[in-house]
Amino acid sequence: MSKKKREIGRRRALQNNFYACGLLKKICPSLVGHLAISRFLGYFEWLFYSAFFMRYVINSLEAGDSFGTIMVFVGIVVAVSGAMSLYNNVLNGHIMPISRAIVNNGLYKILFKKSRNVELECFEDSEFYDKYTLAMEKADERLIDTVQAVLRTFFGAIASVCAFVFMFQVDPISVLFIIFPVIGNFIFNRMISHLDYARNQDMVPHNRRIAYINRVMYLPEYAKEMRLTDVFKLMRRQSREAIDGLADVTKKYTKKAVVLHWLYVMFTFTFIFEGLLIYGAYRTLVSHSMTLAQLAVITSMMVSTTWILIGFTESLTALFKNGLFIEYLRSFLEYNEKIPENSEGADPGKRIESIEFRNVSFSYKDKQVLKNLNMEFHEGRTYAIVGYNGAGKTTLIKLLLRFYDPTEGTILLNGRDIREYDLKKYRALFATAFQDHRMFSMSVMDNVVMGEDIPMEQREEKVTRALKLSGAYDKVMTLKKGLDTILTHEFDNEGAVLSGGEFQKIVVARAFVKECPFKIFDEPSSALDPIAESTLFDNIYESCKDNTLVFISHRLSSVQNADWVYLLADNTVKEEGSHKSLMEQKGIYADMYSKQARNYLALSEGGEVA
Amino acid sequence: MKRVIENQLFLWRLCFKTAPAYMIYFLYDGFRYQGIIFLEHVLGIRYVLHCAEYQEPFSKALLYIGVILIINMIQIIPDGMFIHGWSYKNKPKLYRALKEKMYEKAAEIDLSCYDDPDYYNDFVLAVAEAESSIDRFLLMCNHIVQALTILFTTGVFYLMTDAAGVLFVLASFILRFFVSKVVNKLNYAVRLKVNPLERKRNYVSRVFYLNDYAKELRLHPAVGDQLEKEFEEANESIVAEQKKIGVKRSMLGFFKDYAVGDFIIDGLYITYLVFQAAVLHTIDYSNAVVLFNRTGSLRRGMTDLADIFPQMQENSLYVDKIRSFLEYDPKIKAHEGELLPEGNAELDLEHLSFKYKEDMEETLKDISLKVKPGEKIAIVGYNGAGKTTLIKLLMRLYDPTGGKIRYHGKDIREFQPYDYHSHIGVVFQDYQMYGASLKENVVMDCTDELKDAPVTDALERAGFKERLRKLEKGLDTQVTTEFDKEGINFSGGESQKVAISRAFYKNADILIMDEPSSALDPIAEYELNKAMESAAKGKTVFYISHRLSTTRDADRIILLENGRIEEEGTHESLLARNGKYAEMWKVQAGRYENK
Repeated sequence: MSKKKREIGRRRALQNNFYACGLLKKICPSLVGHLAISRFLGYFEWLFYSAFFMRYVINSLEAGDSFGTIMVFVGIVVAVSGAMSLYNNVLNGHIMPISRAIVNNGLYKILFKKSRNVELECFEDSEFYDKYTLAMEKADERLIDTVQAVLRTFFGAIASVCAFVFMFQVDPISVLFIIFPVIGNFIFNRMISHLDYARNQDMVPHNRRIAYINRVMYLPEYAKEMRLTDVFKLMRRQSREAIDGLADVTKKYTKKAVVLHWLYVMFTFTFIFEGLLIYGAYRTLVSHSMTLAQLAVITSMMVSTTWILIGFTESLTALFKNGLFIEYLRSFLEYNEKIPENSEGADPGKRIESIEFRNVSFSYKDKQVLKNLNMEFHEGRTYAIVGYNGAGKTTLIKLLLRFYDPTEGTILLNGRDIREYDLKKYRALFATAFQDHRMFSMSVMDNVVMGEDIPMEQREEKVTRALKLSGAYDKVMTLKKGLDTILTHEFDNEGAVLSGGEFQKIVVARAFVKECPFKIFDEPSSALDPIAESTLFDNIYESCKDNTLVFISHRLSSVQNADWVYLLADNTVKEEGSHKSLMEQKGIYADMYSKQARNYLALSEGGEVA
Repeated sequence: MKRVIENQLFLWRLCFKTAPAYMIYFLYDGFRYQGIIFLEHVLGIRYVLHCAEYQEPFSKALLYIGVILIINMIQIIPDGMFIHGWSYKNKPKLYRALKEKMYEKAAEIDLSCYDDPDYYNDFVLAVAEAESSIDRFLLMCNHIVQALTILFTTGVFYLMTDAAGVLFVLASFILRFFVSKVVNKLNYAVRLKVNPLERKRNYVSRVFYLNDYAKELRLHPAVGDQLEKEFEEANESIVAEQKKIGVKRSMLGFFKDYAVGDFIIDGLYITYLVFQAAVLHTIDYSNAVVLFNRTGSLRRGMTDLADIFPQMQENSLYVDKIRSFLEYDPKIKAHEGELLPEGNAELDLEHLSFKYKEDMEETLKDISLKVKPGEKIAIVGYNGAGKTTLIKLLMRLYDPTGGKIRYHGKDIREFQPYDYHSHIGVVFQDYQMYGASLKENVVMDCTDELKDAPVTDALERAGFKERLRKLEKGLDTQVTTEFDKEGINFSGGESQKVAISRAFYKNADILIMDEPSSALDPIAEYELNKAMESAAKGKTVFYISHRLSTTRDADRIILLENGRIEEEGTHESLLARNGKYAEMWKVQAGRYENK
């Protein structure tokens, strides 16, 4: 069998299991103790019943002990097992449910803290993000499972040794039969699990395709095209191919798997069971060196020993599997933030006199997005950023907000590198409306305020004003609870879901409501009708008179009134100046503008826009 | 009750029809598994113990166990095939049988079904649960066979050896059954209280870990604090709820596990056995050992059987959803109706009105419009004026609630929707890219026998020429990285061009464009409009846009407001009228005039 590549070494996997124990102990120490006790009691009970109980009773019967004597023994056993059962039920019925909530709370608070503190880039790096989602998914349950597996391995090992010793006591030779399930578990079962792993890997592409088609078939965004075109046939064919693919993969492994399965079952169960039965019969009937009680013990010990061994191997496998999950969790928690959200530094004050991009370049995954950028933004002025799709306009804003740091060059606020400032205080200087609108499952009011420090008594007034400016107020007022309406269906079935355009307006209102010197609008009007668009731009100019204002737009008419226009092309600032001077330059901007304006101004092809 | 059984039969018929041999082996497997255990652990062990107790000759024990060994060696061969071959091969087939039915239906149900959140949630649940409902059904079949096998083997063994033993097991089983009911009720009550709290908890963790919200949380850290507080409160409430019932649940659990469980079996039954063996001498030791050892398995058999019906009921809920989805009769049937005559013709909208729901206001009110073949119509208006709805009616994705649409002089409801759709090319705002080749993404069908030239032509006309030349694999390029790492995710503008080429490829008589340029930069928008002009020659065109510059050259402009045609005419005549359109135009065009 070819050695499969492991993502992490065995040593690291084991260390991770200890790390998990340490983590759980930190979050909820009593739980670790309880889990250990209950695991110990479980194995103890198992071994006791299969090794001692029957043997004692039959021995007593054969020795002709009185009914009463045996009953005293049975009575003690029943009382002890009653106490153990009581403990287990208090654990499962009372302690566990509470501990689970405590672990959930404790672990996720650690995770939240970290995920709020890592830089935005982590979320955009798919490799990082995939691992990170794997770490977050049901992390609390899996952490407990991991610790359980560690305990199962530990006590399973002890129990296995005890089982060997007991069988040895009963009959030294019978212990030799244990070699069969040991071979079955550690050799054949392992080979099977390697084979399962390889087969699963081969099946992944087919299963992914099946899952994709499933999604396409029920998501509403595909529904129209499903009806208007024959794309359904395409999907159906793909799904059939994937299922045939699964069958082909299976075929490749079947023969080998059947042989291994046969060997596994024979060694793990059949050989030890039938072998011991024949051996026991021989000892009692032919050599007369074994009592009935001993034989009875051997028959029940062989079953429990086999299952203890199986449990042990399974928990060992789980140990390595969990090691990988913990690795994701651990590497996330131990990740060194490039731009920690809580980075401290100088207080930037409340004013922005100037912001300057000095030779700023930025690459994302070896792809140059911005190159040698030089820009300036001065207090109280209005700037427009225009350019082709994909020219890096939004990236520029992200650099300004310090979601990323430039790969080269510096950005200066009031003459000082922005990396030297306290990040939270720095970012508080800006209000930004991005294109991709995300609503939180909170009231409209809270969705506009977004936790800004606005006194309660002024909130309604300020939010109303912001919503009126962004054009969403009338729509919000048609909702049943007005400003108090909860948005989205996340956990309020009565929650309101608005159209994309309305959500966009609420995002814009967030930027209106925030009191800060610098406001940024990224394509605020792309989904709006002409009247709404025009009003919105008037409102932006009007209400941000005292602020420094930056907006990105494809609607060049709205750009005209800006004090300064930056045109981005070929990853850098290609043209800059006032609208008028850029038109006179007759460069890219002038070409864009005239192409857009031509039809409005009823000019013929090639005609010039003044 | 009847429905519950029917639902299981529905699944059985489906599975059996798809893979009869597999299903038969599947049932046999439950019998085989418990049969072997009985053979080995009841008969085999008892026989050996019996031989030892009564000093029978060794050869008898050897023969008995030898036979069991050989049976074991043989029965495990098909078991390997079953686990590692047949199941991997047949299960996807079973899933497919059900899912293909659902897919076909999904492509067929009326689009209005998607607007009804209740229906849609059921539909998503049905698709999501299709595989697991088959899994659950198979598991249940296996449990039934296993439980029956236990009852017939071990049960009969008890009755023949010492019938009173059955009473102990039965008593324990029945008492446990009743205690379980109380426990389940208690757990259910807690579930109801805890579920919304967990939903809240999950929502908060999603907000923190999805990249969708990462930016907002960094811009507005205070929101994060607020959410964390809510998260903590939810957990505190969960702890409080669990604390309230913790003691009661523990005691009930103890009662169930011990008082009516272990105490009856390990305490009372063993006393009874010892009494019989030591005092009455009515039972031999070997039987006593086996009887005692097998109580657990007999009780499990009974419990499994008792659990079958609740399992059936649970699964039935999902199957109900699946079946009612499959039984839905769409109002618009894709393949019924007559074929369309050749060529383009007049489209005639007569007093069209439409509302999405009975109790809702009309989205469209009394729309009348005659469109000559080859005419270019622009539809403009405010957000929410009903523009997209009108297009959906034209496409016959919905039927109007009042009035009708005529094409070739006939109500379009008389035509076969499938054929009708093939005469219309459409570009929606929310077009999708599919995980398939570029060629398939243009043709939107299987393309094995289709020539490349018309596809390339359509792409070029949509302005995709340059990009296509840069693609190493040309039309065979995989689109999206869904399941091909080499696949290409086109940018918004590029995808839009592919979507537009779909409409061009179709060579339809009617072209509908719903804001195709909203996300494009000015140059791309300009190029698109040029391409449109040449591609639309001779076709009837409907064009929706907020950019009035792109609609001014239309033969006729329709201004919709509140679901009505408010103004209608050419650009010039509407300007002269000085109404809503003129206002819009001035607002937008005015900004381009020099100040």
